[in-house]
Amino acid sequence: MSGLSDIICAPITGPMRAPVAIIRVSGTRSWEIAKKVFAPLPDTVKPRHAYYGEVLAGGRKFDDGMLVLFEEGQSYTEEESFEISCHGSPQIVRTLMEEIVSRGARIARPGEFTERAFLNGRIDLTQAEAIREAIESATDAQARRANLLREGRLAKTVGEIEDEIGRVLALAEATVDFSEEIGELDRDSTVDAIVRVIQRIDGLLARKHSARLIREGMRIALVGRPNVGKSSLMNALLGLDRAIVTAVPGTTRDTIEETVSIRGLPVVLTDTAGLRATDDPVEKIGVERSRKAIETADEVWFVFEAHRGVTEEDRQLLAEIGRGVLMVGNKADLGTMGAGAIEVSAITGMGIENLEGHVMEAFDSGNELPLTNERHHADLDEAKISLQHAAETLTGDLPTDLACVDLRGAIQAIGRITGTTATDEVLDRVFRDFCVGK
Amino acid sequence: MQPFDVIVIGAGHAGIEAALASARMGLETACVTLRLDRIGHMPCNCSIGGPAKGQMAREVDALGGQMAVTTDHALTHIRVVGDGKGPAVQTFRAHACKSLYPQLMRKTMELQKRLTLIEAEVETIVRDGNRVVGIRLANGEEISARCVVMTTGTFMNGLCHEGMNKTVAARHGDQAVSGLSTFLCDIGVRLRRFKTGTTPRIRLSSIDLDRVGIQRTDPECAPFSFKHDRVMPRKTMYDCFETKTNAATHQVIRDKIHLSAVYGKQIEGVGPRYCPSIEDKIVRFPQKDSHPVFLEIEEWDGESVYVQGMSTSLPAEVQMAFLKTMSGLEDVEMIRPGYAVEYDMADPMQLRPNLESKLCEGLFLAGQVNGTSGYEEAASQGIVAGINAARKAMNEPDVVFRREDSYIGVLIDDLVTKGVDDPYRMLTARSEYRLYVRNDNADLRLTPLGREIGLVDDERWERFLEKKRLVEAKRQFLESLAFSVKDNPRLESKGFAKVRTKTTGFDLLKRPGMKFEEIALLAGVASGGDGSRLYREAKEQIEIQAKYDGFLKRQEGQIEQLRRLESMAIPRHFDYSRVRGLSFETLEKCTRIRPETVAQASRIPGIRPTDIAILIGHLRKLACQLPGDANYE
Repeated sequence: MSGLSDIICAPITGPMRAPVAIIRVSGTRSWEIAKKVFAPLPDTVKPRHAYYGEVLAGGRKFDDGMLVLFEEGQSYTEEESFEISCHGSPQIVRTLMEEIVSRGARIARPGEFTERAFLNGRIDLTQAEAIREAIESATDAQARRANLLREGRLAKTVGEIEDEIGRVLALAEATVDFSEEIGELDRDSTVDAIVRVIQRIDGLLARKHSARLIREGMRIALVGRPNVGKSSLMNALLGLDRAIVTAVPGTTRDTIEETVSIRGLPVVLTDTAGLRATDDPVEKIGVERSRKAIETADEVWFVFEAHRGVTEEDRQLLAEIGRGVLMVGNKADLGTMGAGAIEVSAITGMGIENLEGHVMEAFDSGNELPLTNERHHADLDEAKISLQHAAETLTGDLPTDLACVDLRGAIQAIGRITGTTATDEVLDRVFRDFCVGK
Repeated sequence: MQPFDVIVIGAGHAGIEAALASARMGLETACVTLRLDRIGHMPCNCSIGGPAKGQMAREVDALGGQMAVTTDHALTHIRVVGDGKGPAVQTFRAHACKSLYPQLMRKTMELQKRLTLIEAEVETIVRDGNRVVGIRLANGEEISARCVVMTTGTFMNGLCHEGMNKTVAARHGDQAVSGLSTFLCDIGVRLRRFKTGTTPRIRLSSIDLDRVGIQRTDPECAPFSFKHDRVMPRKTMYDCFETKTNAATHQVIRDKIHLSAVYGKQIEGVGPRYCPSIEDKIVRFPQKDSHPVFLEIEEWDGESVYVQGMSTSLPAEVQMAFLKTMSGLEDVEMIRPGYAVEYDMADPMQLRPNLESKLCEGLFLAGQVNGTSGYEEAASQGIVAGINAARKAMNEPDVVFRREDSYIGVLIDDLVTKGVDDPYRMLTARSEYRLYVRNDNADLRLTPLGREIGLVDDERWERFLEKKRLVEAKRQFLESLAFSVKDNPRLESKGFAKVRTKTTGFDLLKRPGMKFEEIALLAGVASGGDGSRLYREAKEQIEIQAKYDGFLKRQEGQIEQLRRLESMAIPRHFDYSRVRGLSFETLEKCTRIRPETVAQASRIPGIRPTDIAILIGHLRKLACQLPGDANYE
């Protein structure tokens, strides 16, 4: 029963066409399958050792590749398992998968490898969640956040919150059962303590902003007069010749949006079409979109020509933007008027690193712990509401024992994050969003 | 002697409920006790009830038990405790006459059909293989039975301490026994030494009543039992008196502490944390300069007064000295000194949730022997053991009480899951569901179960149905009333806040301070009450339901989570060693304790939540492999 596990298999590389694909097979006596689909292998195999050889279907070679065997206790799932790298053509992957299934394996459910790693005690739930986030994350920084989570920093912060609520609850409970001996609860100081915990939770929830930046990317709208080099600047940041760059003003008719990884951080750059009033219906649409982009952006970068300084026309445009901007003086290779802006040259690449540095800083209010997980959000929200109820109960003239109900509710909600409250629903939520092969 | 279905050993508060439950459920039952005149004896104080304990006594009553019924007849004092707290904390504290209570209990047992009382010492329990088949008395006679319930209290290897003096005795005036300890040891039960204590008794006429505080009895107090319309004291009830310790008291105790049996290292047993001796209180709370002391008259027309809060094992002359330091007790006469008693208790983690031993089929243990303290805790276990011994004798499935339904459920789950480190006393804080497991609704929670298993008689059942009907009718009445903005002038003229939208009478009742009658009056409808006890109970019920509606709903949400884990059964012979991810500690504890549900496993101290999640995962896998039945044996 529990000690024996059936054999599951799935490609652990993505569904996209790639030069190499890796297929993982895990379960009791899975090596027997390895011996049927891969040759040659010595009689005594060495685990965690790469073998080069032929990939077989029905005993006949159809590809060549690499095989690594993992013994029980030393694999991702903790089970006996192996991984084969073969060529990444969908045809080859399908053939190999079919062959493995015909030898007694079944295709893994989404997240099943990680679930087994968890069930076999190799990782805990927060780690499983961190793995899922690492999988989902598009860039390095996301992976880094995921790693942070893996290291349990969230658990520590939230654990402190949990302890504090526990302390308040214990005090309240003691006065309920032993008021004859220890007197009644000091409501004012208890409410103060609860309010302090609420503030800590608010602190965590406020980082929703930086968490969103990491999940969705920081949105930056580039605004400036025509032909100040917005598109070139975007290209310089993108490193791709994606936006159309011409010397004729108004070329960028529509907003162009690009996601770019700046030092591993996701940034969504929007090149706006300009804001000048126009009768041209096509340009009109462009202007509207630009306005929208400015409204929804996390930051607006105002691009002007460094060698000309901020002109009268620039000033008018700035007034139209109606929100704070970061001044970016482009074409600084042609000279500068010292306008107190970040000076760059999209053409030579000069000063681009300063812009990148600025992006890093904007994120790194997020050096603190960002809450990237929706589940944690919901649980913290619930804890906060419970604490507010408890504070209201104590402030109003209601009995102490009623406040205990909500204090317990708060602990239960927090416990779902720290894992002190294990429920089946948490398990479901953790593994539900996995993709096959992880 | 003829064979019995169930034999109960002991006739204390656990034994009484066990024997009565079994007999009332229709089984031939015997109750064996050393002294028939000590049935229902109250060796410690004469108080029944108090925070959490009162709720338990009400639960025993709601199931069809005896404790509250007899208390109503034997009481000398009763009042509501937890006034000013929420309804969940409110309960009764009664003092029963310590001579009348046992007399009434004995009479009840003697009149009970199918119940035979036997005055004898039980030498041992007789087994066939791993199953109980009867008992053997000290005179060599064997009596056979399908199930045996042991409620031996402090009798197993009892040792009384008064200062440095030791006497082999279970309590004042009672011999101790050793045969059953030997039997339990032989079958592998882990025995430990616990200790409990009692206070000195003083002479009523020697107390200066002008120099002590008074806790009034409440002659209008509702009865303890759901069965009764009113309390039935034999005479005008007594008040209770109050004084307190002071610096001089503490000085006497500190000076002589080395003479205490506990601090003089005469006692190895572990004492109760939540009912400490006075020397314990002074050592453990040195910053407190005073502790409250309550003086409780023990019986009708008696002189003996219990000094509640002053349990001690100091020598008699020291007790005398510190008593005299307190206000009102300057010229006190001591009738009997307090003393401590050490006894063998059996590790309750070796019991199943029906209180049956895991080591011996058909053997049930209940009461103080399982490491609890208190009459109410004993009675609660007694009725559970009695019910389940009877069920087993009839080959019926276990009746397991759940945490979310009762304090009884909390008690037994704590005992069998967490075990005890010191004599276990119930506290309302031990229940996660305190708002729901209240004094006032114990009948609504448990009487239907009591009826189903055959413990609730017709009289009680009719009464219960009538109350339920009244509550329902009131709820419907309130829901049918609608107040809208046009009623505002009328509301305001009576001093009530306006309504903003259409509001039902039930919603209006949720307002703090709003009474049922006031709403009926506002609606211009006669509230239909006849002032009877049932009517008042129903009214109280509906007011609590309305006022605490929001809180109850929130707590219900919390209960729901637990229910799901509670519904995940772990197969009886589940092999934890094959679940690879479990920590060693979890593996060891689960294998030893054998939790019956995931919820129970999650409450074992030291079990990591991750292990619970792993367990859930494996049980699901198992359920997939064995469709529809994760419960296979």
